[in-house]
Amino acid sequence: MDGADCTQRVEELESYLESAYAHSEATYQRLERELHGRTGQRLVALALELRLLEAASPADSPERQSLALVIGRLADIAADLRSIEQGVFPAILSDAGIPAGLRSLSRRATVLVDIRTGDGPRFPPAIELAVYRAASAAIDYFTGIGARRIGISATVGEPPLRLMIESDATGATADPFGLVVRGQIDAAGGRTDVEILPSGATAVVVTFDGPGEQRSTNGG
Amino acid sequence: MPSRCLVVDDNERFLFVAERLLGAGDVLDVEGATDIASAIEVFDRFKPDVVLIDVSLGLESGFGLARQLIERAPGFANRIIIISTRSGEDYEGLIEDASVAGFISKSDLSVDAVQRLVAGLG
Repeated sequence: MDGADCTQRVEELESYLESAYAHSEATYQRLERELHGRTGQRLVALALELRLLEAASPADSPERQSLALVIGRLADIAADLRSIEQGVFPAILSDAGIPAGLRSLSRRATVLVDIRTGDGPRFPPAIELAVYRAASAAIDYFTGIGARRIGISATVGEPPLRLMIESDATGATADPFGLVVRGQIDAAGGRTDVEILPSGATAVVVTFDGPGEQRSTNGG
Repeated sequence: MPSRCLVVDDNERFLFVAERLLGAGDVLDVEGATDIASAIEVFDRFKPDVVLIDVSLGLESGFGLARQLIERAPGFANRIIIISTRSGEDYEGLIEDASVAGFISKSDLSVDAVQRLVAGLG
């Protein structure tokens, strides 16, 4: 292959990767919607119907106690389902944007994750997802090398969107992102820089120059 | 005299159960709506004392409806409750920003839960 062939092949592969990421995210999103929209909503309606039966049954009766038990078990199943949904696709992100998505990551983390972000315009879905996946991967990475505290800040007021993840862990290597997340960032038009902070700790900065878009917060 | 309660949710099965659950007893007189346009129509006609709004109304936003109701009736914010099958923690910031009365997870929905957030009902 000569140089021109190589360039063309690289472009084809990049375009293929971009559509592969988009396709897999779309599949995960559809799966999450089905889990949440069909199964989750029906479970909740069923639990409430049982609560109606419970309320109509005589106080202190065995039936009432059995119903209370079943309702409790349904609530556990609903909670499990919510956690599966969240793992499949971060619906909170498409519902409520980057700030809410980052806050939900911080709650699920096993170390203290401090989120600093304002509210601003929504960004295209590919960028929002790349920000979320990058923050999630960085939390995992820094937790893995012994961080006790992670700070994430995102400027979402206007483009460029700048995501900065720092931690108190030392010994970080150059890139906390695996191939998949880096590919997602690339496909969304982002670039990753690594900065050494005055404290000696490492900070990862991901910047997206893409346009913000005014999109109303939409929900799940 | 029961207080008037409007429940807005695009899921009709949930709406049906919620109307029965909240309407049991003499505390709340409940009406339902499935989208923003019908919610505003019911709001103007029914003049509810409390409004429960699902975060997601199909392609419309429950927070968007909350903002519209507050614009129509300033001071009504503390009579709006956001509901969702998802966890309220996910919406913490949004609920604070909307300055509404609070959040109830759909599986915890009850007259008591509504009364805890909005005083003086029923």
